[in-house]
Amino acid sequence: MASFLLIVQSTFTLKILLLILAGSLFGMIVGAIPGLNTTLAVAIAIPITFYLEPVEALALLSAVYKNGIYGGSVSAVLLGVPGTPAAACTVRDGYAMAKKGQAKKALDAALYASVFADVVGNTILILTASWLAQFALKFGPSENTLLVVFALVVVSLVGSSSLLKGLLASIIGLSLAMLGMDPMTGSPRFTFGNINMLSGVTLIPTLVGMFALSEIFVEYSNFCHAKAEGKSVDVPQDKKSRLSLKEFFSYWRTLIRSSLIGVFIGALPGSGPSTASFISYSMAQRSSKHPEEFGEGSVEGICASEAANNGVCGAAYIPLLTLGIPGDTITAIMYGALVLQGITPGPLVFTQQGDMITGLYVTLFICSIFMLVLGKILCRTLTNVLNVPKGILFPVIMIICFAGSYSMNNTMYDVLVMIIAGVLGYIYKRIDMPIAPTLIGFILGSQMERSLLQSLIKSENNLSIFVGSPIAIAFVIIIVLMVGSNFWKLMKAKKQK
Amino acid sequence: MEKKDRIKLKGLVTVPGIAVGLAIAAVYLVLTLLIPSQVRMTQGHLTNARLYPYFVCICAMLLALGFALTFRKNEFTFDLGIWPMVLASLMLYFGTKTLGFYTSSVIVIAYMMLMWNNRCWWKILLTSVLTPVSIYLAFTVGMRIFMPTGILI
Amino acid sequence: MKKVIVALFLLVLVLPCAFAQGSKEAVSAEVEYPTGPVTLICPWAAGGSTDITARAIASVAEARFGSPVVVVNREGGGSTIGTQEVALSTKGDGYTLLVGTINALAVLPHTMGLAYSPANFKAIGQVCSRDMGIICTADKPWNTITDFIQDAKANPGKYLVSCPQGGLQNILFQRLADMTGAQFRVYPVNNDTENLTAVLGGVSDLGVPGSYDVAAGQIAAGQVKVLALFSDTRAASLPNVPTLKELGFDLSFAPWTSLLVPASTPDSLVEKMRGVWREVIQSPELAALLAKNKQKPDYLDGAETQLTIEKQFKDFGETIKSMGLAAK
Repeated sequence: MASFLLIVQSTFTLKILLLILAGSLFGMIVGAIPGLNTTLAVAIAIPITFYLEPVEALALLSAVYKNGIYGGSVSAVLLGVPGTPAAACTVRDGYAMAKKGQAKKALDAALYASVFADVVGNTILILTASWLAQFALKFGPSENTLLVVFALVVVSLVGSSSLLKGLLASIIGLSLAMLGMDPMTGSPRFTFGNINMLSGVTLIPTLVGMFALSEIFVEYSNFCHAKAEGKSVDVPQDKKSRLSLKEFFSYWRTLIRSSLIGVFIGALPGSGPSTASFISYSMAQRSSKHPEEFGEGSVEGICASEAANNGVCGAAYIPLLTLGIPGDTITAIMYGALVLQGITPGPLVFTQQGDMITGLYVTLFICSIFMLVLGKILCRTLTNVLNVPKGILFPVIMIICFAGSYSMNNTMYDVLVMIIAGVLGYIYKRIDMPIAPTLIGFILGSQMERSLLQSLIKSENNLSIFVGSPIAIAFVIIIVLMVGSNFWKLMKAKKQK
Repeated sequence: MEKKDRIKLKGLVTVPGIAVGLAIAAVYLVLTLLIPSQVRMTQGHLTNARLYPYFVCICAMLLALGFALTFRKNEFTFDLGIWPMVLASLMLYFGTKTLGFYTSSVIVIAYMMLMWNNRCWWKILLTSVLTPVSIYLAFTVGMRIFMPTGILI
Repeated sequence: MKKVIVALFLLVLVLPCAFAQGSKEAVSAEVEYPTGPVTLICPWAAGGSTDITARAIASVAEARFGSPVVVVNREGGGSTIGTQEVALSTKGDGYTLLVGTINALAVLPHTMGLAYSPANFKAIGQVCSRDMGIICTADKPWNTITDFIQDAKANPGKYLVSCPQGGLQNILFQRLADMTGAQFRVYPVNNDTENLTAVLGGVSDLGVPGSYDVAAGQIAAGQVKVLALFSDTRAASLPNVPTLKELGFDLSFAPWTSLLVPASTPDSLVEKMRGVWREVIQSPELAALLAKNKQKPDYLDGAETQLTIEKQFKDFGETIKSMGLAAK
């Protein structure tokens, strides 16, 4: 205990606190800029860690990471553009609330849910890291395939008013993932001899295009109509709207469930925060008392999505630290940073580097506190963006989206992808087809192909591998039950008509 | 009244659901037919690079046909009046390739603001200059990401 | 009014394009180098192992040159997009260098049918290399690769070996199998991390990651053992693990990272650059940074590097053809 206090004391140095402050601010701002994602923010912070102690380096990177994921929700609420793919679900309710003038309340919900899930994630990381890691290793190719199928089924069954539109949207997403190099051998598909097409449809530009650019088109269309009718399209913001803690905690069921989904998905190598937030959002809608509010501006929806994607952050450290297996690109960068510090993550890190791990745990909680305080200040300032007339705001957003899309890979091809995705997103919005299933299909498409082929190779084309383990059987039962109950509901509704 | 109707109706295109569904199905039919020429056969009797494209394309085609049948009575309205914004994004794209990013963003912001009915010249000037400057500060100075240049910056 | 505005703006945009042609002059070969900012193109995403190497080179070079050295990530196509962009550049002025890796230069042009070959480059120098090893979990009965080969010969097609399908590791392991007549099945993975996950989770029996260091934590804990190394000499951190050469297989290989410029760069400038960059690559500062990144500083001068790449390109071409992986 004395040594623990000593470590805590040594962690609370001015340098570490300043690093966390700077990292949090930087992460939040980069996360909030459409097109720039958290991976880029963390990568930019790497050269700074060359000159830091291990705990300091981890503190800086964790601050950038967690706040970057949170920052994505700020632009999701204010501009209708998810700053990171993980915030795509937050857009539906957050932006709807901002349109009604309740942006402050939506931002509060996103912030509180993020901090809540962050604390849950950190606690679980500390208590059960090695146990969860062993469980995660049991996820072979067949279990991964079923997890992807499960995510797709959940999202397309629940996300949309019409079952068919949801399914079509997710299969379009899956087909976007088949362009470019195939995930197994890298052999080109549908490239038509153009080398740029090898990278296929790039995720971030697609995200920016489908959400942001299409929104500019929609708003311009609204503007032309409003002009013809002599109305204004600018919505005054309700300055007093805020979320009371009492209301926030009335969603405790959703919060806890979403955080746990986030932690679970985060512990699996290879699945990221977007999957978690999509699944948890759909589950929340399924079990909510007011499912009709989802998509129209439901605080519960924001909580579900944000709690899940921030729950992932804490859990992402589990495979990283205990197995030395980074689960996604961001933790892969952190792995690189740790190696540069002379630390090898893996089974021995807890015994050999125990002090560093304890220091890391302490800094993770400091990060949560900074997130709460900074988020509160940032929200207050940034809500003013909505008071800018749309005629000025949207041209500026267009430029930012353009710059953000370009800078991911420094190529104009990505900008073209963004423009095409923008037109596609506009068509989606006009035929009332949900964008979310397309996005999740796209994100999971190559993962699904890879794990499906891997399972078939492993079992020599024998489909029984999909019921070959207890986890796989559980997944199959859940999927069948979900589809069945949906059909049952559909039949019942038809009979009543 | 008369003017309002004229503007409102201009550029609106109404398409029946069956046309939307059939259009999507047609795209996927073409993609399915392209698979043999566009996807190289890789090792593996079943587990090769063509399995997934075939699976996805055929599913999508069936679903799109279902969409066409289910929504044949629905009508979807597209507003072609958004072309100035599509044009703006294309202007920015081609402008960046020739003139360079910063110059063309000044032009495109001014153009978009005029299209959104801003007529106050100093607001236009201020926005169209300040935005690229802040992008320069944030991206190039702050994060060392260089925006593309053409014959100008 | 609207149309007037549109016409006006289009005019502003189109007019300069008319003057755009011919305004660019050919860059003359400079004797002084470097006099301005240098760009290192990294064909991998920010934060990866190659990117960290590139950033280490940049930080050392910047301190020596006194002018900025910037890393630009041009990711995509399994590192072929950035590589091809440099390969096909006609503006070789010495200020844009590729941080090239073996896969993109010697393997992928064959398997993917790309528009470049090592002839499109002039090498400036090899920077570093890694130790490639064969790993498996500690509970497997094999203690050296010879044990595995005998087992695989007795049970043809029974064992799954995880490596990127059609990638460098696949080709090298296939060569080893061809030498001995052992038969195995490939369990395809995308990167070293996935490879380790497959090995630890028991999905595959043997793993051939690009660098055995991916499992360093498990090796230290005794959960994973290294059966053999592909490199010429034993690794300092694994004194007990033999190389394939020692075991009597005529196979040695170490994946490298090199600096390259497009072939359009004038020869006189290339000579000058080789000298300037040699000092950077051989500097103790860089060696320290590379060692931290688990890369072995392994300098080869420009001419040697060029020969190595061309030889490996030819060798791999033949193996890939015989394995039936070549693009038509």
